[in-house]
Amino acid sequence: MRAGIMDWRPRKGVMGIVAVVCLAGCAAITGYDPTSYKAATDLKAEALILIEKAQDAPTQHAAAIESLRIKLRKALEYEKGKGDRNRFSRELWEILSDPNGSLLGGFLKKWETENKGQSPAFLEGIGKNVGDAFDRIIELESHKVKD
Amino acid sequence: MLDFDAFFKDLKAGAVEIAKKEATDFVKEATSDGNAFLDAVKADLKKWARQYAEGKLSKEDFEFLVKGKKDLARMEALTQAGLAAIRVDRIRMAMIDLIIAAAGKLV
Repeated sequence: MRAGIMDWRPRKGVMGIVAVVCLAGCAAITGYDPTSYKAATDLKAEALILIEKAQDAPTQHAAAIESLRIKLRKALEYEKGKGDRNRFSRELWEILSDPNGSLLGGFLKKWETENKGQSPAFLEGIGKNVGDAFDRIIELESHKVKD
Repeated sequence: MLDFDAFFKDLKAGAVEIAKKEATDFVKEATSDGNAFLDAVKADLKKWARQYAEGKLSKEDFEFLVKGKKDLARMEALTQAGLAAIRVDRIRMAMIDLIIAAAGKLV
């Protein structure tokens, strides 16, 4: 009888451990990542500064445009590397950087294709849209569960 | 010239469609937040329409900015779906704490 009680206790403990392991392995979304947060805030500032300069012809800022495009790509690849549980953040970066879209990626393409400075009214509008887009990424990342 | 009602109807339908796809369980809340988002962008759209009428924005630039709002609507829906998933994870974490506390009593 005594041996039966001794057997029962470890079994319940094992069940608890199994439950914890299952729950820990079933997260719906990735946790907070300071690297992702920093990339979003840094690139937001860099993008908005470049947009302010877009009254000039793009040829005057060719190096900055290319640098920003590379950093956007790196950020997107980093988010892709986290797997399917990171799909919300990954898709946000994809929309922001899509060259066929109408946010940052599309703006860079438009500026270069037209090969001329953009109007102040347009730059004010695109700056607002791009800033809001980065804010969505930053908002999601900052709300993720911290370890 | 501009049919704001049609635009908002289209935008709202898109936001709802993505919300349903990404987070079916939270569609009610996502729709509500989507409507709040639409209210927030109305001022920008009216301003751009005025600038377009005044010739400060070209037709192409105006259309680009309006399409940008549609992209932002998709991002808003994804953000809300992500926030819902985070809430699920917070419940999961609370359950883990509960199980650990209960397991501690067995020792």
